[in-house]
Amino acid sequence: MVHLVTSDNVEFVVEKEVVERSVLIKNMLEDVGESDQSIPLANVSSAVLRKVIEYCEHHRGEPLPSGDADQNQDETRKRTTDISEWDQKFITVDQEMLFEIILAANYLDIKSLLDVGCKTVANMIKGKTPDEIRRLFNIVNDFTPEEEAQIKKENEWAEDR
Amino acid sequence: MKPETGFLSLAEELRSYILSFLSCRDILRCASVCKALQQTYMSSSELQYIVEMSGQRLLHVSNADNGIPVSACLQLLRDKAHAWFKVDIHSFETVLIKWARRVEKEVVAGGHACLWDCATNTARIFPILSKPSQRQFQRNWPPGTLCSVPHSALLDLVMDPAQNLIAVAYIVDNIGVYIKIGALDSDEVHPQAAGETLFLLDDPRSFHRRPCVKLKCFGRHIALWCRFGSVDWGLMDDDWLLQVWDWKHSTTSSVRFAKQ
Repeated sequence: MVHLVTSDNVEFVVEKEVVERSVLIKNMLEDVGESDQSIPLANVSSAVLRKVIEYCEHHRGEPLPSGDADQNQDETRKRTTDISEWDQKFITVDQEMLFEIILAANYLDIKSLLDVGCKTVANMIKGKTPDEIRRLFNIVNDFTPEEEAQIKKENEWAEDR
Repeated sequence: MKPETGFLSLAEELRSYILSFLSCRDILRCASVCKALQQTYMSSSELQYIVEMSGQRLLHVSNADNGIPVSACLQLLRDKAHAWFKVDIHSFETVLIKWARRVEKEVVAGGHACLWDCATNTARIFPILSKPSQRQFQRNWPPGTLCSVPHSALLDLVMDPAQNLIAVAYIVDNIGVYIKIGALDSDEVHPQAAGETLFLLDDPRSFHRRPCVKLKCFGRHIALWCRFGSVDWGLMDDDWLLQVWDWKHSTTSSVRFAKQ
């Protein structure tokens, strides 16, 4: 069993097999060897780690992406936003939690979870106008009207196809 | 209290990773949301690659050996695209060449088209890019003036309007090949030439029949490629000879390659 301590000082005890989906933790355990010492995760809160562990539990036993996965991922990448049903349900959270999960997956180096999160954000953006994207993410338009007109003109070609 | 985590609070790499799942149109729409996202797009070769691919209506081909970084792929795409963008279909102009009875040779060099009519010894040069410095030029050499050596026959010629150069390769009595260096706008020897005629390095063999000769000019270098033997172009084991002159410096060739 592996002991993890979150940024808000909550301790999680997780099976090694489950937590090793995180490349960061897997490498740490390999470096340190078996020990009862807890691993501090200063960048992850308990609410987020709970979600991450839920994800890892569900995908337990699935093969970890190997080193040359970058190439294969290149191809599946273009089919963008296929997310399995369970993952889709799992990632149906509020925006703040979604981005927290992305940050945690990136930090803990869990590639499949990172992709689920990023594809979900991409899906939210898909087909939206710049104005709708601003409303979606609460972003302030900091272009001057002139700059905006210029950008619009430059991107016209991509709009009518 | 920690500030709320939002799309813009993600690191640049994560933002561009998210956008890389999107299509060209969606990527460009994101880039016009705000300056930070515009910056994300501008600093990501991968996103620009996706957009450029789509702009050129190309499909992604994953390279099996994965040796080429995406930034190099992007550069290749751009070079290719820009070569086409330079072709402005509205600036095309049809040039009517009334004069050409029989165009023996046509060369496009330095923004000019150079035509040569063998029957009348006439050169005509006209600009094909509209730069103010380029001019139209036509010159006719009376018979016997371009190459005044008796019993000679013209093999090839090359013109370079940027250097006011005309070089003529000719053969005399089916024995020796020479290259005459002239000026386009006068009957004089080219003012910068080392001499009037460039000489081939001695070749022990005489030409049983007229060799096939190709002449090229690259700045101050003139190259002559000469092929001996049968007329049949299919035979690749023929002897050939390549010589290069620095025509402003010397009348003898400095480089020589041969297959015999």
